[in-house]
This record gives sequence, C-alpha cells and structure tokens, in this order.
Amino acid sequence: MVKAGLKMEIEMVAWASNPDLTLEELEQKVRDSGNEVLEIDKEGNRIKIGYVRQPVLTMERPV
Amino acid sequence: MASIIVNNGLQRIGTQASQSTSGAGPTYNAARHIQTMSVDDSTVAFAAGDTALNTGGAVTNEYDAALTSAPVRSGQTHPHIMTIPTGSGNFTIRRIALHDDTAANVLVGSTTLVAGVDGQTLTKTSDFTMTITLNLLYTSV
Repeated sequence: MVKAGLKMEIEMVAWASNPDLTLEELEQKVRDSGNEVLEIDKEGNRIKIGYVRQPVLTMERPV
Repeated sequence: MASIIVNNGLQRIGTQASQSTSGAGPTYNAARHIQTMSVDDSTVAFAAGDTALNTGGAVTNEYDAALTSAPVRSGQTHPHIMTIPTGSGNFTIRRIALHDDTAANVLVGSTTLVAGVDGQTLTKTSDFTMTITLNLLYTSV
C-alpha cells in the first residue's frame, strides 16, 4: 500500500484592474477584450480573469 | 493546459535548498533564485526538458518583469507576483512562467526557466493592468 508523500502544485491567479475606471466600466472592458469574468472583487476593485491549480509532482511512499 | 516545474527548475529548487554543486547544470548560486515572471503568446506546451521559453518553438510576443516584491512564504506556499502595466504585454497571454535570474537576463532563449503554466487565453489590453500570482505549493502528506 502506498500513500502520497509529497505533493507539489502550481496555482495561477490573474486579476485585471484599473483605478481610473469604475468596476462596471472595467468589467465591460474585460468582457469586450474576450476575457471570461471569473470573480468580481468589489473591495479590491479588481476582476479575476484567470485561475488554474494543478499538481505538478506527486511522490508516493509506502505505509 | 498543463502546469510544470521543468527539470532545470527542480534542479534549481534542490540546489538552492541544499547548496549543492554539480559537474553540469544548475548549482547553488545565491543570485540565481526565482525573481522574474514572464508571459508570452506561444501555444507550445511546456515540457520537462525545456530550459528556455523558446525550447519547444519560437515565441512571438513575450513580456517579463521582476517580481513586484520578494515572495512572502505562508506555510508551504510560496507566492510569486508580477504586475503588467497598461502599456505592456498587450497580446493574448498563453503561458506564464517563473525564471531564476534578473529580468534583464531573462530573454526568450535564456536558460532561466523554472516552472510554467501553458494553455491559457488571457487577453491583455491597454485598458487595464494585470496582476498575476503564481503560487508554488509543497504539501507533505
């Protein structure tokens, strides 16, 4: 029997922002450029347009 | 779409942690830590043997910059953050990568590639700034 011993992952998060635009204006610009709106962060005045989380390495060890 | 730490990147991470020397390839060097992030428009997937952005094929558009600040570790998570200003990187971003040299030394053909994410479609325009975080997470279970 084996059990995962070490897992390495990469997580990527991409945000669009522009302090000169309202969030609504920014959302329109983001959509007009063909990006997908994944999340709107009203407090941070930014829009998430990219997200990936994937394992890149899993090492197993006997138990 | 895939995420990968290339062989050279694994060697970099290991040699920095253990201060290893070797007859060839990355060896411990205090100056050669992950400090630059790049974006480019190549549709070629990263492979384990890649040492540079153009190992798998020519890269048309590329933008790189120093990390916005030194990574601040939280637990086993190491965050790397870059900011692309409105006037830069305005193309369809397909790949994001980490490099183990200064931004001045990172070119599409430089042997600096550590890790990357490919297969993305992020359209950067001059209408906004883009901030990208690439976390490396190490979990022992």
